[in-house]
This record gives sequence, structure tokens and C-alpha cells, in this order.
Amino acid sequence: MTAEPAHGDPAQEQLLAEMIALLRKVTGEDPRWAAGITSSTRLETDLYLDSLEMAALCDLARETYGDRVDLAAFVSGLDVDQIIELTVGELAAQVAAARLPAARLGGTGADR
Amino acid sequence: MSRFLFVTLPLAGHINPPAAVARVLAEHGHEVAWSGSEARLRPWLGPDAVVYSTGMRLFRGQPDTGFTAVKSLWEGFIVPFTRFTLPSVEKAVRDYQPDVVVTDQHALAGALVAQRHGLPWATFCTSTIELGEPFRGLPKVDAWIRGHLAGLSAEAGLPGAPDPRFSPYLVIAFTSAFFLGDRSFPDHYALVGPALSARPAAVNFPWDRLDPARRHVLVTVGTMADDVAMDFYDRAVQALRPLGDSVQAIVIAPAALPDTPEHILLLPRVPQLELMPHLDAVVCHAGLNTVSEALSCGVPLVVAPHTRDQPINGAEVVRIGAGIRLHFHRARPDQLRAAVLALLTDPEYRAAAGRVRDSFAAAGGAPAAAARLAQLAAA
Repeated sequence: MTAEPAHGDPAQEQLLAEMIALLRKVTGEDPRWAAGITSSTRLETDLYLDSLEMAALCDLARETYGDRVDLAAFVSGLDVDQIIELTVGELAAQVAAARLPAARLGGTGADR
Repeated sequence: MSRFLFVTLPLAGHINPPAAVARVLAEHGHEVAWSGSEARLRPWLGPDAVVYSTGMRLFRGQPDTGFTAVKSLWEGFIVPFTRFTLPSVEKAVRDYQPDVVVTDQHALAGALVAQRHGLPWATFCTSTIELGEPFRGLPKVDAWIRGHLAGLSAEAGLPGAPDPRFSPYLVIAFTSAFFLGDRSFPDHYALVGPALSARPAAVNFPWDRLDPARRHVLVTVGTMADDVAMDFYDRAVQALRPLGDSVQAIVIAPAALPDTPEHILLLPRVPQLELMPHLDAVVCHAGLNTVSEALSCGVPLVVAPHTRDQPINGAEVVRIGAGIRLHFHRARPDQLRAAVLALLTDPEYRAAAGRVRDSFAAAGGAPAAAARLAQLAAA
């Protein structure tokens, strides 16, 4: 998986923090749980995110960032191994890509 | 009278419904032989049953959840199990000469061999995983499964054969259309409800310890890796610990837990079907057998789905209003306690469970399944 945001990019760090906050909302978990999440944390294998929570996360991301952020459409294009390995960072990269002007889209995850 | 060959999977929960249907067929003068693991089948079927043994192939994917479980189910079990059993199922069909092959939805060798011999065949859905169409919105996952199915058909000498998961003659599902949201199914689908029968070996239970003045809650996560199960049971026992004044709990745990209070009976096995009418609530993993047994008695459920068809079953329980869903790995003791108390205090949950019970009773069960099979054999 290649969607690790570069360290020290404040915009990407901010987006990752926002994504973790969304995850807390859909799981009802506490800050201690959230503190263990990094961009390489896998949604299924590490967080046991189930299909209902995944759907809720996609809905919440759309509410938060607008209709251009369609994580459900992104996930529907993945194969079984990609779903198993899907990370928090990859979802953050999807949000970033959807919010950026098209000209700046360079290998941020939209090409997978 | 007709001859049926039942092709089975050596997985918990996949033998009980066919055994109940076979019993009804035998009562009506039909003959049934079995293909499957002799070690698994014999305790259910008794010494006189005709068993064409496939040998045992263990499935090691039990702790997996989500798509990891989907992948291990197909690539670690269904596909190799089909290859492994194809010769013995072929031999069973040649020796036994059945009129109809009846095969578990995921015992694909039964479907392939029946097609190879031009025999009519029926599918038994002993889980809801395929009926729930969980991958409708995931075309690549769906294509990956279809690729495996096409490969197995081609290996069996049947290139381009129809989907071996669904017989074009008869698909029997051991749940009700009501439970699956009153979706419509083709005419050759028979949703007959659960086919329940008592477990083979008599299991002792301390019936005299059930206190009629308290409410009774069963906690079980079915067949599951011990460490995964014990982690859940530990949280469940913590949840039930303060409720001793009004609740007695029966927890089916493979090992002991420290300081278990008097009102929590920790037992490795119980006669679950016989216990069900005495219960006020069930806390479980939403496996189809436990869900069906509870709802057949109108008992509401706390569902904490773990893997495979369990999320589908759990979602239906919640949609119907017959229970509350929690996360298997993350449900905290306080959440489990609140959910159990809600089931014990709000009569709506029990009323909704009663509506499922009625739908099961109307669906006909094992006799309805046997009647459809006899029709297919006579056609």
C-alpha cells in the first residue's frame, strides 16, 4: 500500500486527524483507542471495522466534506485483497484527492 | 420411492438441517445416503446410515472476520474442499445411483458431480451468506468468487456450467422469507424455515439450578476459536455480574473464568434446543442456528456478529426489532449489560421475535423441505 502521507505535511496530518475523529464517531470508541491509530492502521484487520461501520464512515465523510468525497464508490472498485489491506491513510488520501483541484492530482491514491 | 444422496460440509451447523430433512424423507419411505466426513456424520445419523466418506479436511479460518474470512472461506476451504471431495462424491453417485443429489450450497462437488451425470440436484442453504448477496456492490469481489466457480467447473469437465451455488431445479433455504425482509425469490426457491432437531449426544444440564423467580439469559458464540470466544465471554460475564438479583445466565464457555458468581452457570455444553423455551434473552454471535433456535421460541437476541453470514443475520434481527446489535470485538460490558436489560424490560423485542417464530412455523420446516425434494424426484 502506497498511500502513506509524507511526514510533516500539516495539511495531511490534519486530514488524518479528522479521519480518526470520524472513525471514533462511527465506532463510539474512546480517545485511548483513537490514539493508537496511524495512517497505516488497517480498517478491517486492525480496527475490526465491520460493514455497517464502514457504510456509516462513508456517509459521514460525505456529510463532512461534500458529495465529491465518495468513499463508497472508491471501496466498490477494490478487490478482496485491497479491501483487507485498506488503511486509514488511503481513505485520507482519497478525501485529499477529491478536494484538490484536478491539476494537483499526482499519485495520491486516485490512480489505484 | 426415491433415492437421495446428501452431500454435506464438515462444518458445525451444516449437518443439523439435512439430518432433520433426511429423517422426514425416511419416514415417507424414501432412501437417503450421505457423502461427507464419517467422523462428523456418524454421531448424528446413527450406525445404520449409509455414509460414503470423503474424509475430513479441517477449516482453519475460524478466527477470521470480514473480508479476511471471505477470502479464507473460499481459498482456504470451499475451493480445496471441492477438489478434495470430487472423486469420493463421484464414487458415491456411481455406487448409490441416486435419483436426486442434495448438496450444501458450499459443498460444490455435489453440484458438479450431479451435473456431470445429468441428475437433478437441489441446493441446501444452511447459511444466509449467498442469499444476502453481500457483494452486490463490490464487483471485483463478486468476479473473484465467480472466477473460482468457473475454474472448478472447468476442472470438473463442465466448462461454462451454471453457478454451482444455486440449483436451477430447487434451492431450499432454512430460514423464512419474512426473516430476509420479505424479498421475493424465484419459484424454485423454497424458504422452509429452520429444520431443527435435537443434538445427537444427550447433554446433561442442571435443570434444578434454574430459579423460576429470575429471568434467564443464554450466552453463546457457537463454534469459534477458544481465545476469541473467551475474550467475549469474559466481557459478557462482567456485564451480567451485577444482575444476580433478577437474572440467571447460562454461558457456554470452553474454559473457566475466575470468580464467576453464583448466578452465572459456566458450562462447556448445554442442550440448547431444550433450554430455549426457558430463556428470556440470548446473547450470541448471530450464527444462523442459534438465531433460528432462539427466534423459533420467540426469544429476543443481543447479536454480536463475528464473521461470514453473521452480519447478515444480525442486521435482519435488528431490522425486525427482535434484538440489539453490538460489535463482537468492541462491545464493552456496560453496553452488553444495557442491551440485555433492554431486552428483558421492553416487551416489543419479544413481540417482534414472536412474529419471526410465526413465520418459521408457517414456512413448514423439514417436512416442507422433504415434500419439495420428493416432488423433484418424481418430476
